[in-house]
Amino acid sequence: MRINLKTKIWLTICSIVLMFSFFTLFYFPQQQGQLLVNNYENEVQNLANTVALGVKIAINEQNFEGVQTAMEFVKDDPRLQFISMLQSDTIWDANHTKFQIKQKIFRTFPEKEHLSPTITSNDSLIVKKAPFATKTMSGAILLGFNTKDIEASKAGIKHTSIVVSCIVLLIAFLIGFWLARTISVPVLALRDAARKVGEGDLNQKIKHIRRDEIGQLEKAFNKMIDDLDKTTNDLSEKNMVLSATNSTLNDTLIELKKTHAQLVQSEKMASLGELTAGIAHEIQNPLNFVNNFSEVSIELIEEVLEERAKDATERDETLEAELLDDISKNLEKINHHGKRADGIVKGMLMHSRTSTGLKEPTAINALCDEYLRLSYHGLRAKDKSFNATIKTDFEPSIKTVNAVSQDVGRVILNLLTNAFYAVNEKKQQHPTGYEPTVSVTTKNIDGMVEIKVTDNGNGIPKKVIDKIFQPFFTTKPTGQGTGLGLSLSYDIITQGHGGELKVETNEGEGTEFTIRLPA
Amino acid sequence: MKVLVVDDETDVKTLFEQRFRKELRSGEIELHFAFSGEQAIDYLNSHQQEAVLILSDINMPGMSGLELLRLIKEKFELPPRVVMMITAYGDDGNYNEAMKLGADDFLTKPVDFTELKEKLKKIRP
Amino acid sequence: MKRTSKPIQLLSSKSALLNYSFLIGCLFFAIAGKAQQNTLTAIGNVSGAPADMRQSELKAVLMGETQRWKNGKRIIIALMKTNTALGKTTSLKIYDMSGDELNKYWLSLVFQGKAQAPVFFTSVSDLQNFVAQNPGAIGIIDKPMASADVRAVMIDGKPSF
Repeated sequence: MRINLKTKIWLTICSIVLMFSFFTLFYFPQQQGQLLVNNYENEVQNLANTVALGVKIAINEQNFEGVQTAMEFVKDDPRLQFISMLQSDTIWDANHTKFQIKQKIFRTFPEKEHLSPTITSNDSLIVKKAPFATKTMSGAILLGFNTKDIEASKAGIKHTSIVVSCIVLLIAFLIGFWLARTISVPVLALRDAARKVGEGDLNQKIKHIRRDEIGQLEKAFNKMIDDLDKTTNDLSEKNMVLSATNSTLNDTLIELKKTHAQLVQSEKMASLGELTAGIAHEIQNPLNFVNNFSEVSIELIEEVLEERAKDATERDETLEAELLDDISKNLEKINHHGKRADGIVKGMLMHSRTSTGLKEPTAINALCDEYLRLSYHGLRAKDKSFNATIKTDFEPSIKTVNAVSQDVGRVILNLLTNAFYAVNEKKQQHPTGYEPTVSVTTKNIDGMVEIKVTDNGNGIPKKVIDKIFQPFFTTKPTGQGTGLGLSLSYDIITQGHGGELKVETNEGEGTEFTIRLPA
Repeated sequence: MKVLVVDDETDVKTLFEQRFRKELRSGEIELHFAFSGEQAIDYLNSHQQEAVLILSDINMPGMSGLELLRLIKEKFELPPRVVMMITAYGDDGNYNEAMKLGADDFLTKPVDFTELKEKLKKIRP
Repeated sequence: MKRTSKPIQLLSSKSALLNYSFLIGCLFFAIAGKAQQNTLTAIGNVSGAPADMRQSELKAVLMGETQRWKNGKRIIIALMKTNTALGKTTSLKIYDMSGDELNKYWLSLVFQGKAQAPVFFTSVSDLQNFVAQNPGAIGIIDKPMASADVRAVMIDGKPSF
């Protein structure tokens, strides 16, 4: 249990006072009483002695003055219980060989008291014996004084002790109380001030500093508040600076995020742009066919009509039939190529749209083929001299994979673009004797669909291979590559589809990217 | 006149056959089709004397039309043939390259068959 | 007790007569004493003891039964010490006690506060002086005497007994 300072001081003072009280109430009176008793006994003994002496003188010299005076004195004393003279008789036995000393009362004052010679002191009576011996008579004076006075004195002492004790106790209480207060009040004040400072109120400096150790504490406390104030101000300033920095950083972060988004979009647009030329070409062909076959069909219908306009005899019905058949086939082709264009446009639209992230069963082989053609044509559109041998090896057993087709397509496009770039670079360096080749293969392995994009370009240098998947890393000259392609591809395959994207390369010989997707 | 048409799109065959049906009917033209540069080389190797006109697309997987042009001019000089490039990429780069390699003409898709027929009339011996 | 040197005092005028009486008294007593050793005389201070008393009264006084004279003065007994001849006689004749017995008697009386013990003297002159100087004193000597302060007390009409 917690004993507070006040209580400690109180208890200390009370224990001291109690010890004092104990002394005053018990020990001291007892001692005093004992002293009184001793004095009394001495007094009585002296008186008895005096009387005895008086008796002796009276008997020896027939001078009764002494004993008379002594007796007067004794009789006047209110404490007198009795005074007796004992006579000692030597009683010889018959043969006068042994003797006994018998003491008998000779006289007693006051007469009514009947005593035995053997009376001794008790609680209320002090009896003292003073022997005397003369030729004619031997005996003793037996003096009995009552202890009423002593008792009264003792009681008086005790009474005084109690009163003194109570007064001292009261004074001690007051002192203790005052002392406790002088200590505990400022201490509690300090505690409250400290608590308030802890809560933030620095207006707690102690105004009147005491002059003792608590005052030193108060001084230290005030200094602490000053230091705290200063520190708080410093921190406040620093906080503001940090806040401003933070604000700036925040803005910068927002900018960066925006820029990142822009770059990603830019990358998308870039890949889209790459597609556009390819797509344009891709659409061009079917559209050409649509136009051409529709034109031809119009001519053929004119021929049919011409034929039909002829007479029945001149009409070549076989020819008509042929023509109609051709027309019919043409229309089929128109339909086919129209749908083809439509598909390409749809594909392009899908590519440009933000990926929904929804996985759908995607025909991987068809996807690879489409993006291969797109990227090839796209690159050729940009670089007329560009040419490369394309090899494909699609495993027919691969049906569909649950994937976000435009995302996976983007990845394939990216890998192909890089592959074409690599072989093109090498071609620039070795114009003759080098046949740039890019191959795309698909395989079913261990329940995964594996797509490999291989090129026989310059390969990826060792010092660079670790960085290729990092965002914004590119080996292309400034302005030519965003550096986001592989990093986005990596994210799409690994995070988007739970797959793998690995690279193997031989410097100077070529590179192979492997995509693995869970079937 | 024997004409070799080289294009990776298979429907080109149907289109040419219909566009040139009159000429085919009249025997003016004989059309042969190759669907890749390699196929064209094979044909030229096996039918050396025949095609005097070669119409080739440029953008083909594998051997490009320009490559074919070069080979023809190098290895199949005789009999001298007319080689015309037909391509969707009608830009200066392709044109210059084709001309440099000795192409006789350069046509852009979609083919204007009227124009083409005009040009063929001029070649016909 | 005034201690007076008889020869010197004789010459002083004031107490000349007293001393003279004393001298005569002493001679008287000496003669009387030599003559009758068994006779006792009671002498008393004129302020206290009466001029005469009956024997019984004397006894009462001497025994300590009476504390005060009729005039209220305190009775003081003066006796010769029992180790003197006169004292012995006094003790025997008046008290019918030996010296020790007398001591005991007086001791017990003193003890009980009943009476004041007599004063014992070694010489008659001391006794006489004492009686003269103490009103209420009565002494027992062998011969009567008289002075300004002291007179013999007639016991049953007789000066001696």
